[in-house]
Amino acid sequence: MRQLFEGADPAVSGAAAPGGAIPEGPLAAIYAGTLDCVHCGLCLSSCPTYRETGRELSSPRGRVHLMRAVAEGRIEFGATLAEEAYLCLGCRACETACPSGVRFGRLLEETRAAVEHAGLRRGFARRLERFALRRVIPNRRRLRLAVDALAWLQRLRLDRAALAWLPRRLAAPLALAPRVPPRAARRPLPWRTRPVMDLAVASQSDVMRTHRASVPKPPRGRVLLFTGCVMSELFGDVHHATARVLAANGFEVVVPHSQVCCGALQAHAGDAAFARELLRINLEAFAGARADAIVVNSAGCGAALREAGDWLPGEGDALARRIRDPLELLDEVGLRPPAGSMHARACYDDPCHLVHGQRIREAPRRVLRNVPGLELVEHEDPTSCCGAAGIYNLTHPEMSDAILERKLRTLAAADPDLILSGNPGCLMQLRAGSRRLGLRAEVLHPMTVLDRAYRNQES
Amino acid sequence: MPVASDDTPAAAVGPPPPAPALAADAQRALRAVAGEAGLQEHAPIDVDGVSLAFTVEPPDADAVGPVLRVLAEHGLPALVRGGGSRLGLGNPPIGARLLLSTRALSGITELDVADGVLCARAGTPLRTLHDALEDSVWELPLDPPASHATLGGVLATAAVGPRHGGFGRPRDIVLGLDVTLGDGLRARCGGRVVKNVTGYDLAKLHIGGFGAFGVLLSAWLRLRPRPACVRVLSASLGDGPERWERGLAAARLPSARAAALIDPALAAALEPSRPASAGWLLLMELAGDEAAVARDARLLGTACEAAAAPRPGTRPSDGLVGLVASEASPGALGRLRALQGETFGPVGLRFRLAVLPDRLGAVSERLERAAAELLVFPASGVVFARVSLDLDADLSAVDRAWLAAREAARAGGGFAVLEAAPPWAKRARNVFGEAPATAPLLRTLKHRFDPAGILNPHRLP
Amino acid sequence: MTAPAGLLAALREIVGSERCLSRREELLPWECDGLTLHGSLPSAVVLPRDTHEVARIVRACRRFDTPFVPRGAGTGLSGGAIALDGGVVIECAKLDRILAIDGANRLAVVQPGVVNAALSQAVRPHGLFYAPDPSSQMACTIGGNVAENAGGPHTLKYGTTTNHVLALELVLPDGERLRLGSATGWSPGVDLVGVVVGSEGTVGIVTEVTVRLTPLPEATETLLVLFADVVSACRAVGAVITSGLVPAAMEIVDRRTIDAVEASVYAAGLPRDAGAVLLVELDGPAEALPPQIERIRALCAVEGARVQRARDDAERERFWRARKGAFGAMGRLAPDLYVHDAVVPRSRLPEVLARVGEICDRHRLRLSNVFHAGDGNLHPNISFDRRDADELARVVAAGREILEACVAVGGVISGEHGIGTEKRDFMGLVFSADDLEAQHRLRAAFDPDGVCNPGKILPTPRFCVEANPKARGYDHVPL
Repeated sequence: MRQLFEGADPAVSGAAAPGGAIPEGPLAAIYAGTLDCVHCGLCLSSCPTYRETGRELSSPRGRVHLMRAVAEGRIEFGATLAEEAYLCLGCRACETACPSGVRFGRLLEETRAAVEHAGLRRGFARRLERFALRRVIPNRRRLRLAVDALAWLQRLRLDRAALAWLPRRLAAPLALAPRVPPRAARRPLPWRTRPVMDLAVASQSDVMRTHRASVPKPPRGRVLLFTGCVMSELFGDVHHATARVLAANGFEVVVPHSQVCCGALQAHAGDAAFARELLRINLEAFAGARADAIVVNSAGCGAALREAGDWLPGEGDALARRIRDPLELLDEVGLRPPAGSMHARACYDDPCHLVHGQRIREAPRRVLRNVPGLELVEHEDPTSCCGAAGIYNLTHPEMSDAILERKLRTLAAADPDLILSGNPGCLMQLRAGSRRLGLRAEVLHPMTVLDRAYRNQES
Repeated sequence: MPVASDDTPAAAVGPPPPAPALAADAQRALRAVAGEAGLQEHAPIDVDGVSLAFTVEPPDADAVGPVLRVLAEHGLPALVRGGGSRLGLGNPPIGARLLLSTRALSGITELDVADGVLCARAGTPLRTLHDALEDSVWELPLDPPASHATLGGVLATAAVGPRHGGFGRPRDIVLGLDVTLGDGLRARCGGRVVKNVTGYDLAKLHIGGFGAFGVLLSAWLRLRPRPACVRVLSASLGDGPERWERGLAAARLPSARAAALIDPALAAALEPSRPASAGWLLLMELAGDEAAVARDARLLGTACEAAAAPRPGTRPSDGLVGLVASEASPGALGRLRALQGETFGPVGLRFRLAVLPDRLGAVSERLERAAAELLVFPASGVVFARVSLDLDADLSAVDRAWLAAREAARAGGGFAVLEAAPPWAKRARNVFGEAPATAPLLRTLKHRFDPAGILNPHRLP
Repeated sequence: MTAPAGLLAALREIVGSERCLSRREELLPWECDGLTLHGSLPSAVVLPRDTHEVARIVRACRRFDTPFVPRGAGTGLSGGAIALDGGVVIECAKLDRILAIDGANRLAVVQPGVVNAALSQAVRPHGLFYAPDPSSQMACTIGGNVAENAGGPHTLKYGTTTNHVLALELVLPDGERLRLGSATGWSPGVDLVGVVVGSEGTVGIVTEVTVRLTPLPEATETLLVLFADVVSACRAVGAVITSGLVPAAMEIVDRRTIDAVEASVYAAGLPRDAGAVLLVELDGPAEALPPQIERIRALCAVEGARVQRARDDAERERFWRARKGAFGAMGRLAPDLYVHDAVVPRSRLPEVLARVGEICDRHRLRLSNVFHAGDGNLHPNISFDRRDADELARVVAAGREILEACVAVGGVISGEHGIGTEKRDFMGLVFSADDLEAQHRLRAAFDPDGVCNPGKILPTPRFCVEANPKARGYDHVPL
């Protein structure tokens, strides 16, 4: 037996003072971050890949241990850590469990960036991924073309045929893809949606009319809506719903048109440089408009933008402070309860990047409990990942499926009519999973449910 | 005339086997280490047909090791004896040549009132310990039958009394032990503190180890706060199948320190004025805070409390509905304790079963078919079953009862042990049932701790 | 040390290559457990999925003369789950099924990899819970709890793991399977279950555990008692215990710990102005609790303390999450933490704590205290940085002095973390050579060849404490 690390490595031998000699090497930048871990292990049971594999190696504590070992030069920066860095979902459930405040998501992004930098990840799949993330997703025109193509495939039912003969890695995206909404639903939002007058004074039948009526002073304020990339194309209806619900709650909703993709997917894939470029564009897009908050209805984008300070300290921090999840905002200002109702039994499944990334857990539940008729039931383990994790379900289909299955089992046990989750990746994953397992529940964004409740009052 | 040990009936049939003599050099060697008075020759004492006419009594703990070394040297297996109340438990000590008495190892060595712990020597009678704590805020959580039983004997046999529901098992209250192993090695384990994982939990080997691994010298015990309020209640449960559910619900009340279900025949012995037609008797002791005891008494439907309407918001256990308990006659719990340790006459059998609580109905049905009288502790699933045999009964009669007890135990998901039987029956059968899968491991342990095989030979399975 | 090639082939044949790791960088995460002070790289890690595989793995290791060590979540704090001498780690985390829940008889049968908190959650619908609740219960496994005889805050009333294990299935060091004990909780003869619980994985590998479940209390009250300092809090604890009350838990958290926890995700709104906080939990019939609260209020008032009550279950749970996250929260103070564990007679707590404080001051170390006061179970936590060799040496020296101070007043060197590698060379502080010989005999009866988690609990060579007093401490001969 020996004392751990003693003399094992030139970088730490001798009397290095705490925080003193910082090692050089691939992960030197995050070395200090790895020291936050005291190895207590409370993160283990929260980690989906640890729960699946039982491997310390595939746990947050194990991964931090490897990062530190690489930074200290005890082991080579090689395939093992590279694989683990990508086997990790980046769900950040470990951050919610971590008493000593290890910023795992940050460590992971840096590690992935280093993996890319060191060329430890190669091959066709990686090139395809990078092409999609750099050239298609953030480019509105190309993304629209791609979605159009998908829509045609779906219309001609060619996607089903393709599933049969495509190799699994290529078939997976098709199987996961949601039904592309009709063009009408994909129409862009108006640049401005006017607020509805206080419902207390507006008669029920007035609501939709006042939606368009001009009100001289916004009663509750003005917000900017972040629309992102995939969200707009595949979940445009959620944006419309969000705008209507915010308007019904007295907000003027403005959509800055020069905004682009948030860069989260690229950063998670180790492409921090490109993510930083996107952030610069967004900083400019959101700088002009005066508003009380920037509303982001996609949890993944919200988490990324809230941590913009990590990419661009200073300016990024300022942007981050303005970011709000719509449910968080409604909880803060107090929801104007819909006069209509939404009779359903619903399970709210926390998107990782809302509950772990942004630490928002109770607000959505509080807001949803105010929807007349909606019965919110808790299922087991709502805060664990569904396996979507950005493009994880495409890169690691087996692990993703195993995690999804666990999630669906707990949801099925609660037998809901609705499954609610506020993130496009989760919506796609849960819809595909429910379809496969024959769950009867409809999978919706919470804003869609709120919107339906407001609209139900008309009929 | 052989002297019967307390719980063991003297063999009524056949002449007592001759008591083995002790060679003169062995006697000399023993006197050299135990003192002149440390070796006594006496009228033979019969333990399950093994007749013993010598007793070596080490004058203090330090002398136990040398005595054991002499015994090993001369190949003299010994039967360790405390108060003598449980010598009939376990398999007959075949091959034992003399008794080793712990009587001189007596007295409380430390009573720490601030921490609620006590250290006493193994030969201390339980009564002495209870007396010493009489005026204290603490009580000793041991109440097996026979108050002259010694601490060492109670621990070696893991004996429990009616209050084990509240007190727990002896293993749960022992903090540390001082033991001399078979080869004379003196070894302590555990300590005096209430929480301890420093090293192996060797105490568990000795508690319930039938003295096969070492001679207990002293023990640290964890005391319990003496309850502010104690009430003994009884109720009739009738003969219907619902008696099991009711009995279990009652026994699981938070303040139930003792709770026994007693069959009608035994109940008559316990409360002589009670008609046998009243069916099964539930005897309970509630102990704890005033408020907690009053609440549970109310749930048991005691006459005095039942007059008041049940308070809204209380949670009567469904199983208790319809029960009407009343204060039991004075001394009922003491009589219950005595009953637990009794056997009928010279050829009675007593079994101890441990089964799962929700299977007590099935278990008791099987036992009653074998004409057993039952004393049942529903919360812990412990059943004492007595079977009376004819004076001319032979081994086949014993086997029939033994088989019924084992089948009942199997149906109950537990096991049965033969606690008392005529010597000729015990010598012919293993009181623990078939040789367990653990037998090889136990033999290895025995060999490691008592290499010469001189301690309580043949006791374990 | 690398595993013999034949062994690796045999292990892969049993579990497949996915569940058998052998490359150095893959093995690294298993080099230590919750105690970062000691480390040793296993020669392989293998992950069985059933008892049969465990037995085959053990037999394969025996064939190639390689020691092995069972491991659960690796949250232990005494180095018990690290493989010395190039041993194989048998990782039991995926033996994680709850095999049966018997609500009527209040028991459950589980595999060793079931997480402690998950078990309590699963049996909650039956109105039951699994009482032992170590602070790591969110992650630690029942198998690990059995190995260490784990405790936790609520052991004050409910007892430790050994009081809640009814029966076990064990794979012996020769690969044979053996069932011990009975689901009834009673034993016909020798109590071998009691012997195995707390044996730190040195007598075999537990592959199935039958545990006792406890009814959820009808009512629970949690009090937060604010003291000027830790010592007066200890005195109040003594007064409560000798008054005959049996709270479910009595935990003391000092100022420095509160500061760390309140900065973490487990912040619970603990008062920042108190020198020490005593957390008292009472449970039982609702009628019984108000008088108990009044008694505690009166007893604590003697020490000038203020008593607050948790307003609701949510606040109560926050308090406990804060208490249980305390160890990890210390990571905010320094990169490393040494969590000590020792027990003293409860009445000696005030003097011992003063002494511990004095020792740490003298060694210029950052001490914080968060501990099970009702049991006299101390956890002096020392924050440090292992890269600072001088500080490391002071941590080790202070650790020894703390243990000596505890033993001097009749205490022992571990109450719930176990001995492992951490304290094996301190066993001589508590036990004589003969005492240790008896323990060695027990171990040898199960594992005559010393292949099952070797190098733990007992000093090796057996009497090195006597033979060479300088061999104590952490400055062992490196592997």
